Amino acid sequence: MNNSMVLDYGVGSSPIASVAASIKQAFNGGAWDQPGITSTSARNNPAQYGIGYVEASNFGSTAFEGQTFAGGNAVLVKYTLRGDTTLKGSVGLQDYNTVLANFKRRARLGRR
Amino acid sequence: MNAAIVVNANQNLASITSAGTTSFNGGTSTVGSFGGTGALVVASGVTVSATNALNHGSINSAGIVNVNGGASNVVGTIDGTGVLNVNAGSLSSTHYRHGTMAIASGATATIADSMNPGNTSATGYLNSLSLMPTAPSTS
Repeated sequence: MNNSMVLDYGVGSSPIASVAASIKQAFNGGAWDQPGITSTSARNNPAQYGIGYVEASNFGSTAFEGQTFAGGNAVLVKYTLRGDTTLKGSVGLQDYNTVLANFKRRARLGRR
Repeated sequence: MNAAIVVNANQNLASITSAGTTSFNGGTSTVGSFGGTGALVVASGVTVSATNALNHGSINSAGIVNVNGGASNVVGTIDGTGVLNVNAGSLSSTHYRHGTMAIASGATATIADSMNPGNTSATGYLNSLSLMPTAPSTS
């Protein structure tokens, strides 16, 4: 995917772990050559681009890339710059602060 | 004005090529190859399977659409609340906005490449996405 996706799961349990696993499998250390959720654009420039994902409740909006998810229970996926912790399509101070806040913490679901 | 095709019961057809609207309103149907720039509309409770090729302008489905083959299927846009099963082959579309999407092992579903990543017309919207363990998916 070279764009974005909303996975609006409604009242069920979040599929974020499955989404993360599918991205991780495809990522393959930056090669983006394995099955899963992958990106040809990221494959062509893996040092800069990747696929980010976030639980919508941590995103702070019920709209994303032109799609709305009124119920609020969704996983958001976006082709974006590596380091874009907020899926806004750029990397800035907020992302830097997120990295600092999580420095030396165990890996959590976030982005690949 | 383009002509319309309406299917109200089980059919087994070799091919449909249409620039108009093809509506499946009932039954379970199998079509060898879909072609043309028209719209494919599938009603709730209806199953349509494409055996060899699924190339069409758009799909709007509240039923079940099975893609069972075809190395380079291209559908303009895919919308609706139904189930889309990519059981084999490769499917490409500008966007997938659907209820459920399942991609089988070895099958591929691709968001049509855009020269402008971030193009919101390509943003997908799904209620459920199922990827078989070894299935390539959206690229």
